[in-house]
Amino acid sequence: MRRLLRTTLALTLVLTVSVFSSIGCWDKKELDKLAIVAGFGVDQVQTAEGDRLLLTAQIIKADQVISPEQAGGSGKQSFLTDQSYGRTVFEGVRNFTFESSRRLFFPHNRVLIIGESLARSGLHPIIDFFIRDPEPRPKQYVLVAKGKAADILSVKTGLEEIPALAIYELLQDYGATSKVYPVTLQDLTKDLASKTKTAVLPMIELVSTSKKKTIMLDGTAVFKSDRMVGELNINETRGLLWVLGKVHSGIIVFKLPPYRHDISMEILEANRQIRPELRNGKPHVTVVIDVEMIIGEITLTKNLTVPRENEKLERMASQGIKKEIRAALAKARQFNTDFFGFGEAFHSRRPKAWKTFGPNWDQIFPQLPVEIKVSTVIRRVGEATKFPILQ
Amino acid sequence: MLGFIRKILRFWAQNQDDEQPLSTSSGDEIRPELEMNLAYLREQLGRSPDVIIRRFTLGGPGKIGATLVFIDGLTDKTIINQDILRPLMIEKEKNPVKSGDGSIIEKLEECLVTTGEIQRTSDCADLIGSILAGSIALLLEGQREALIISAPGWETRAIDEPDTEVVVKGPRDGFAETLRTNTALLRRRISHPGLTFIPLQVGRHTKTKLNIAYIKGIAKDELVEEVKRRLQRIRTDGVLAAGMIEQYIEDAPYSPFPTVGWTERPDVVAARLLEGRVAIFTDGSPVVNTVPMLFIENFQSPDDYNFRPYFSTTVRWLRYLAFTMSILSPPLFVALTTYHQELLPTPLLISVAAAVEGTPFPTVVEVIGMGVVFEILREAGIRLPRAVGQAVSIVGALVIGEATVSAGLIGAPTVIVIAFTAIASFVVPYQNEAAIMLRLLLTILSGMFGAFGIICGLLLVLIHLASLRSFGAPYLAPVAPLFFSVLKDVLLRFPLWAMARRPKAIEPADDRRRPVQPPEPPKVDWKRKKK
Amino acid sequence: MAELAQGRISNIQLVLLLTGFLLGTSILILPGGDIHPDTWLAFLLGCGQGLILAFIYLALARRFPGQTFVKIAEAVWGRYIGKIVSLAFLWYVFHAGALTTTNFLDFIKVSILPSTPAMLLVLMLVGVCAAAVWSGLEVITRCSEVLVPLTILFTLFLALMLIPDFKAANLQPVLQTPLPELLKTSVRVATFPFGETVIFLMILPFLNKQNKSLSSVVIAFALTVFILITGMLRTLGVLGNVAPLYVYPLYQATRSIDLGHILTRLEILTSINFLTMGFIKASVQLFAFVVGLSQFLGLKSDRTLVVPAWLLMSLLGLYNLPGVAETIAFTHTVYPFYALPFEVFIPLATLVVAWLRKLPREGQQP
Repeated sequence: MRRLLRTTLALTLVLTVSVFSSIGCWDKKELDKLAIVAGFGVDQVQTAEGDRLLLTAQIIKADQVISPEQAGGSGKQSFLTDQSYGRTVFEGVRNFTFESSRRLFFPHNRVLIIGESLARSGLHPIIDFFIRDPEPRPKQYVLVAKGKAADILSVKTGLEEIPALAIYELLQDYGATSKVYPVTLQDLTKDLASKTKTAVLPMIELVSTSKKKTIMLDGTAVFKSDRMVGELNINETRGLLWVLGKVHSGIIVFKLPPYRHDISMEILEANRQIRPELRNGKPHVTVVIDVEMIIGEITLTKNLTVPRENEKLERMASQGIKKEIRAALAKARQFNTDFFGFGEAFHSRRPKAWKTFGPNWDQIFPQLPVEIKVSTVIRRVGEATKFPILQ
Repeated sequence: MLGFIRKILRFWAQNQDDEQPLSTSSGDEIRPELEMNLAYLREQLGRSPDVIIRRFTLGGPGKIGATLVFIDGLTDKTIINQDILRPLMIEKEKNPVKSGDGSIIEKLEECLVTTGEIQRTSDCADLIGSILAGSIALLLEGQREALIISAPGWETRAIDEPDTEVVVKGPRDGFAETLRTNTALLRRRISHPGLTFIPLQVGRHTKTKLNIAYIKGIAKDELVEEVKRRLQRIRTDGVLAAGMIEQYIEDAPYSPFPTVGWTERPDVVAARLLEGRVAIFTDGSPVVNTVPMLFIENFQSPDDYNFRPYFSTTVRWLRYLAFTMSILSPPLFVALTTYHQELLPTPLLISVAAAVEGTPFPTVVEVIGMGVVFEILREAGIRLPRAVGQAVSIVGALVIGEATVSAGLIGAPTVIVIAFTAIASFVVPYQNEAAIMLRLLLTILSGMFGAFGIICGLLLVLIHLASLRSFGAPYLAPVAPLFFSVLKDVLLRFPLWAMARRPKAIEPADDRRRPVQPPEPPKVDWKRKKK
Repeated sequence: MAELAQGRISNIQLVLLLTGFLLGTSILILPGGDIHPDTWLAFLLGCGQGLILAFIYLALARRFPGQTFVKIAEAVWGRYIGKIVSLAFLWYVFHAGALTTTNFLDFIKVSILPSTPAMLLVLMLVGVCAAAVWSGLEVITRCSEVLVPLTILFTLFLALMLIPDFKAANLQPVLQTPLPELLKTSVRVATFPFGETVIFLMILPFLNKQNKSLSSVVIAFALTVFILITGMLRTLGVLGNVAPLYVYPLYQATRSIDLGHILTRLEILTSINFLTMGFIKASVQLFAFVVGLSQFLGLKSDRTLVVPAWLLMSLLGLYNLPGVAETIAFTHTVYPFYALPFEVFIPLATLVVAWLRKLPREGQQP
């Protein structure tokens, strides 16, 4: 018995060792065999064989990034753009190997850009790869390109070495104006999975002047289910952000008659409450926004350290904010897309009532009465009390 | 499987061991005839020039012939002259011994030879052993007994701080090579009468003297018995150093982790004895072994107890961190750059990718290669003559590091990782043997399976550590098995006055250190002082 | 007798061992994720049911102190039926171990090492467990003493890191799931992982102090619930309604940690949690199987069976079910029923029969 055991043991050892040493290490990915993708774009194109997806990958050239003396001087690019075609995203990804000597590596991808025509025809076919495959990460930003994603990804811009990272930083800084709404893949997935809340994505476009090309964030794309049905301009976008509670800072400009010039107020902090209520058995939403501001730029000669003067300014600011929100609301009703998440609010907080009218949200939403209450407080006035030039 | 290998080795070892009869047979007695004794001694000891035979005559009536036999270089000449020859040759004139009551040898021992240590014997083997160990033999014509007088006078090293265990705030004395000096150093620290030494001798040809030290009442009796048993089992030609003793008595000879502790510092030995451990002093070696040994001892330095708790705790944690880094840095580096690049932050990844671009070897090979180079450097550094050492090592490191990176043979991150590993590996006071093997094993595993390989390797190490015992104490105590009362010295270094119990794992006979209180500043009545 | 059965463990060690075992594979999968957001409620209910089951096991163990289930079965049911019962029980243990291995393997193949051959992976995984079993129960316990606090630390740390992404709204609405659904899911939770504590009928005999294990078991359950609920809440709070979409939601949630671009990619901690707790669970199952089978066969040494058990469990773990889809379906739909006889009927029946037959009698050899 013991001899049998020992023989078995010996055989197992031999087999294991031979398996170990025969093939090699399967999952090893040496760094110089990887193409690190920083930005990725998907477009819909027509080719000779019919409808295809055009995939654009912006790949980091690590050694160019590190030696600035070379990059600065010779103007060599620290990234390169590769493209490939496929019927599905996954097929396209593998098709890259026809052209690229290295394997695409997705975990460091920062931005995913979707071409407008593709967005309009539906996101569902392409989104699944990025959710299912373990490499792409949930916190990458997703955008819609005005035009073709491929064009956006080929342009070097700004101070950053790699454009995709530049776009990433642009989205990170959205709070400076709060007129852009950055959406991560995780957020998009959640919205797509929601029964009532519809998805929105920021838009980005390529601007060419005679001297150079740059890329710029501009507006938001509105989706119904997975198709793009419309756009919000930057002010409407902020209107949306007020309701979502994502306004960090920004400038509100308005005129206070009889003064000629515009007044800018800086947003300090904004809080919001969404109150889903039932009035007479019917759904009703009250949106309450509390804003704190600083006086940014004025041309009044009034002494603004006196409280009553500020009341007028506050009222004007509130009006301005309400206008933005109403504009966004109007668009929402126009497209019948509940991107504010009112449906979700009812589902969370009035679940019983939700059971009754939830399934009909599509019909209810355009008529949903929404009451907007904005209150503004001016906290600080900056360093000057009044404009020094006499009018 | 290990058992299988063990059986083979044991079988082979046993066949080598046939007892060869010793050249000296004990039981030979001293004859009354002086010349015969001398002839016998000369035959046994050989005709080496350092064996001195000093004939003289006892003073007083009778003119009895006497001889001193001793080895030059081992004995103190002053004592021979002042305390043996003088009294026997000259002063005996003045105080003649009345013959008749008792033997002359007895008289000499009791009245005339003025040394501290003296013994009578009638056994030749004893005599020879003592002469070789540095004592002086006094033989008299017509006597069946001889005197063995102890007068050690060999050259020893001055007491100095050991190079390998340097502290900032603690005492600077370290053990020397003489057994008695070392035990004296220990006695200086523990004045308790319970401090007991058990003498032993091992090694057929070296007859190395050992002393087992323990504190009666604190150390477990069974532990002392076990130590004695294992030491007495040693049958070999020569034991030259404490390290050999360690290897003969350890619990797990096949494990990379040591289960017998060692130190060159008396304060460390004293502390360990006070916790219930047993120490083994080896004559000829400045290293003292202590058992049982727990894994945690590798990270303890006497400085820890000399400083206050906050600092000590921080430094302890630094050591744990450094040890972990020294073992895990190369494997982690390999795993992160070849298997799991998604775990690195993007800017870091770009830097590493840029550095790795163009290097001919896979990262694993680089790391293992540089690791080997470093070990070579370290080993060479031990033997470099001091004059040349500094220059060569600095230039060597710089050249090897700089040049290989510039030539594009090795990536810069690899060199950085290896350099950091090297430095981190010296932070831990006592652990170097296991670290090298662990590092290599984990690097290979990580090269084959990435982080998963590292985790498997670490789990296997954990399993191994969890199964080790050192003289009955579980190696990973007090973490596993959990002894909460003792954890105070592991994770944090609690204030001294809070550590009221001795480590349970060693199972001391009495586990309470004497009651302790926190220090309290005296209460001053400020009001009264104002006067 | 057998070397493996010589170990003795203390109560604290039992707590940690049991916690590690329960966390095992459940620290990654979200049992009952499809009734979001009431998943955690179902979980608590399931824990309660599991506790009741645990009482049954403890009662049985208390009646026959120092005896593993194999011996108990023989004593209660008589030699022949007892052997059949033991065999069924051992099969359950073995299969449970193989399932754990399968879960292990699936996770590694998906997210860590996709291309490495599964045979090699599974041999290594179970091999490490076998090494632990070879060294004895005390070693497994000591490992869990080191690893479980680590897991607790990581879980809390990750929960802290996820606070910025946590939205309470994701956890609402509460209590909207119809009761039958809730109960069904809670039963699922009760069988996996809590019901699997029946395996500890093979471990309890090795406690230092018999009959004092009730509090330890309760503490272990509480600890497990604490950790798993923390994990669950943070996952649901971050992912919301998307949680059931993912195969490994807890892992996916930790992928979104990104603090200042530096503290990112912390999902490795979740992987480590999973691997270490899975190791403990599989080791315990392997141990129970080896010791049980040795006693069943009356072998002199427990260690003889370790290597064959290693190979067999690897094989079954590998070829158990064709793919991940079947594994998930099995765990969700079949397992609760399949486990019932082993987790409920056999122990309960044994207890009842023992009570009826008034066993153990005085003077009976334990």
